[in-house]
Amino acid sequence: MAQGHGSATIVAAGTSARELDTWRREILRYVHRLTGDADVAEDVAQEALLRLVAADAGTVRNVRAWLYRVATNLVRDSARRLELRQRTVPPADADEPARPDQELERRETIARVREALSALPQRDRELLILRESGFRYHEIADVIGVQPQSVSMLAMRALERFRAAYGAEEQHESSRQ
Amino acid sequence: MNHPGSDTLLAHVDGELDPAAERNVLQHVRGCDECRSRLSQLHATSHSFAGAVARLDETEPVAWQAASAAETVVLRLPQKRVLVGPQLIRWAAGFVLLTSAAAAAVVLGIPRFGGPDDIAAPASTGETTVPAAAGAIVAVAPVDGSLDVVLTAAATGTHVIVTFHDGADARVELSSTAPHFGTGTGRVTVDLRGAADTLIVTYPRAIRTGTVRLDQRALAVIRNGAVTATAPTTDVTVTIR
Repeated sequence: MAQGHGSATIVAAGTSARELDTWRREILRYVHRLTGDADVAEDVAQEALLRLVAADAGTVRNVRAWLYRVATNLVRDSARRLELRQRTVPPADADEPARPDQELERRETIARVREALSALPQRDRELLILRESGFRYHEIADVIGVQPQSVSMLAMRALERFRAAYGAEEQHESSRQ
Repeated sequence: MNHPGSDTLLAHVDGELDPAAERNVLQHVRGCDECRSRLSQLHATSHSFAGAVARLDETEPVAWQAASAAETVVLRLPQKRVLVGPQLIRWAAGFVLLTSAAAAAVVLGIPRFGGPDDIAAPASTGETTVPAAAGAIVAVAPVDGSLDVVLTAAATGTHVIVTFHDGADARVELSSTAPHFGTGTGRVTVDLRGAADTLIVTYPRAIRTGTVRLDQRALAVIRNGAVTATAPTTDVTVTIR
């Protein structure tokens, strides 16, 4: 049984609150895409924002990239220490009650996506999701720690790996039906 | 014919090429069926990934989509919890993440004080504190209707305003100083780091007991929704509203 006493919070108000909220939602989405774990996403978003609140404002030039870099490193750290595995949405069990076909197909598609992403190296996942989040190549390089001129090649290979893995998942699913 | 590499085509798709390279790619693709096909495939792969990611986003908790209060964002200070069973793993995960940060706070529970008239030195809790930017507000939930606010390292000229509100939590708000906040069971500490500032300490009207202290000295005592200032001090001004 969890016991939490005297829970305390730091509250930001006004304009800064709206900015924090926007960034919080971005980090939640980013980490959830990376890990599939809502709890980890909330922990990482919380920690990243706490660090931002505590940071010397003069040292953070690109807040968005800074937050994503912090979040990326936190996810990497937690994955290393806890052998974090991406959760997958399991396909419907044959013994489960009948579901609408569309819902079943949706769940299976999501499971395929998760499996395909899990098959990628950590850095490939980060790179592709950052690219999908609208970051420029030099920002992606800064967040994941690579040379800017290598991002296009790394992204190309990552996309090809994803396509191969996703396509393999689709074939596997088809053969089960 | 020199065909652009796949990485160059992707950079073109992402708008990352310099103007000269962009012109070269467009010119080449116009006259090359093979590269037009490659580019089309690349667009399809990119869209496929975007679609796949969008499906993942469908599994986000619904609560994340709810509009937050426009005026406040709440960042919960971490606390040590006693956990049993499967929750231990999640706590351990949180603990690992937090202790990797210089700003992390792992707060140990401390015994509640005996009462506002027995101002005892707080036991060493080993607590660390979380720094916050100027203007931050900390909100703390009283424990068993009791809450102590402890100020440390306050410079001469600090002004403490004690007031009440109808909310359930107690709040400490500073105007300009970047404080360090710490928490314990039924207590919040505010390290002013040698600065003088104006603090607004807002208690819930339903509070049963509480104190506002400067180190070991009680500045104000709260009992059953009423507050009284204690021994005057030349260091800190106390105003009750």
